[in-house]
Amino acid sequence: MSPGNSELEPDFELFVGRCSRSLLRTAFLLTGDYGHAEDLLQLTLLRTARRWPAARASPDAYARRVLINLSRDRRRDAGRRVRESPLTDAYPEDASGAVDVIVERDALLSALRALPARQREVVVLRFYADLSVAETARAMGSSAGTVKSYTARALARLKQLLANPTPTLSQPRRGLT
Amino acid sequence: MTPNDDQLHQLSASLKKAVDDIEPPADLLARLRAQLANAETPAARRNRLHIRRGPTAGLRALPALFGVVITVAIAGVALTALSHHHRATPTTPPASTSSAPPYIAPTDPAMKYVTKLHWSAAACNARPPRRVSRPMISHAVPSKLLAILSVLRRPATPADKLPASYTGPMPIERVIYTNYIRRARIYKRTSYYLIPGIVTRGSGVSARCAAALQAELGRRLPEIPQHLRTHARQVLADLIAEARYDSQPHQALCVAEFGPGGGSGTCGATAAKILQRGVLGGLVGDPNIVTGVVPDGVATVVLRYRTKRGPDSVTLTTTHPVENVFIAHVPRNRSRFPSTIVWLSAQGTVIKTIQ
Repeated sequence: MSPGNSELEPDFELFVGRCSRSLLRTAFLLTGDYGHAEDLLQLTLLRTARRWPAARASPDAYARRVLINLSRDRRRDAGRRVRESPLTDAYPEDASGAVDVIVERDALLSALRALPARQREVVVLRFYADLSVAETARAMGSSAGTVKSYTARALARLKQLLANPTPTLSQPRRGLT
Repeated sequence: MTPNDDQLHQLSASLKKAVDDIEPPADLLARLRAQLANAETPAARRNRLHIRRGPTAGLRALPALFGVVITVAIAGVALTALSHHHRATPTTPPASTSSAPPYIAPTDPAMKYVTKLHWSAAACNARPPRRVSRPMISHAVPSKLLAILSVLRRPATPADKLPASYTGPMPIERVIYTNYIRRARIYKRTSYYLIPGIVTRGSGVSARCAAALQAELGRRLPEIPQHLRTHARQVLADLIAEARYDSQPHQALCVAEFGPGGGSGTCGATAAKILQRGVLGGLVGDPNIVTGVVPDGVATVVLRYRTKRGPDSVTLTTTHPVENVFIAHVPRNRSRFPSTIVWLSAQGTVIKTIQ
């Protein structure tokens, strides 16, 4: 699968079918923006496709690591750009959804967005992707101790944020937080 | 206090529930194939970055360098000789690369005087353009649009086909490049299609009509502030040129939306106009969304909206085009169209500022 050749390996196509949904959702939780999440997913899969011989042994872990790195790059870039007004409906909203579900989801996503970046990564990887401490540490490129420490702080902060939710969606912010 | 297992399970379940309706795009594999097909090979990248490997790489470049030096020297001698022969000939400005007339912003101060003129006066009552009942299908290549819009260059997928139930207006009257219709975005269940075609707009402005408009502007000059009079004449000339340009058949892009609420479409952006100022529009039935088409190379679009707090107070909305199309939310209590649009490259440099 060299650049300039559009053929994808059959097992890579299977991997995309199996993992793209979970990767997109992870990217959305990390970035808080559907457009960014879709971009991240595409870039992640593209990089994985280019390194498929190396990634084939453990494609999920490889793609997750790429996704985390790309989301960090994007955050760094966004910090240097002009201010963004976040979208109030950052991903396609289902109008038929019950109001309380939407409110609950909004509160959770706002709280998640209010966490520092590394703490958010830990929460997403451990509690959305259901990774162990060791797997999370590998995906983040940190030690297990650091992951445990981030987890404890993130959970305490989340608890505090969800107990006293503050509307953050309409506040302008610098790039992505 | 450390959360207990139940609370952790609840958090995990809530996170999963919060994103359980997010689905990857159906054409993801097609997009990956297209990107891989267009990807740069390592050799091309090395050439672009001027990376040469090995100790003799510099020596290998010597013949080319020598050739360049000789060419430059010959060109210099020839130019010197020419300048001696044609010293009296005035220099002419280089021809414009774009044949489209200059863009006049709707906020131009002279516009309100020029639009007051009687464009529908008897002298301007031309025959309406002949409408073709069904556009012709062409399997040719819309090369001018393809050169600036990568979305049209990617391979077509089944999703790009206009739905059979599409009953909205088809903005193209003449020719549709059927192989190059692309569904660029889906937003709130509305599909955003780009349809290249050959388009004519309006019936142009006859010489008689142009003379009548210029005479009318001349009569109204006392109503126009002194400093805007010359400018107003120029704006009128540009508008007439634009109407004449639009009345000729051009390769142009049409944008059609199709969703649960129906369909709509607008047409007429030629490649030159897209390079000048892109295409700006909105979603049907949602005044809070602004959409647009931008040429290749634009990685970020910054929309600047004026606030009521003062002339220098603005709200910025930043968005990233995907497949040449951007979709952004209009800040609360603002009109849909921004006062300024800034196009930024992937490196963050300003490509263009559109007023």
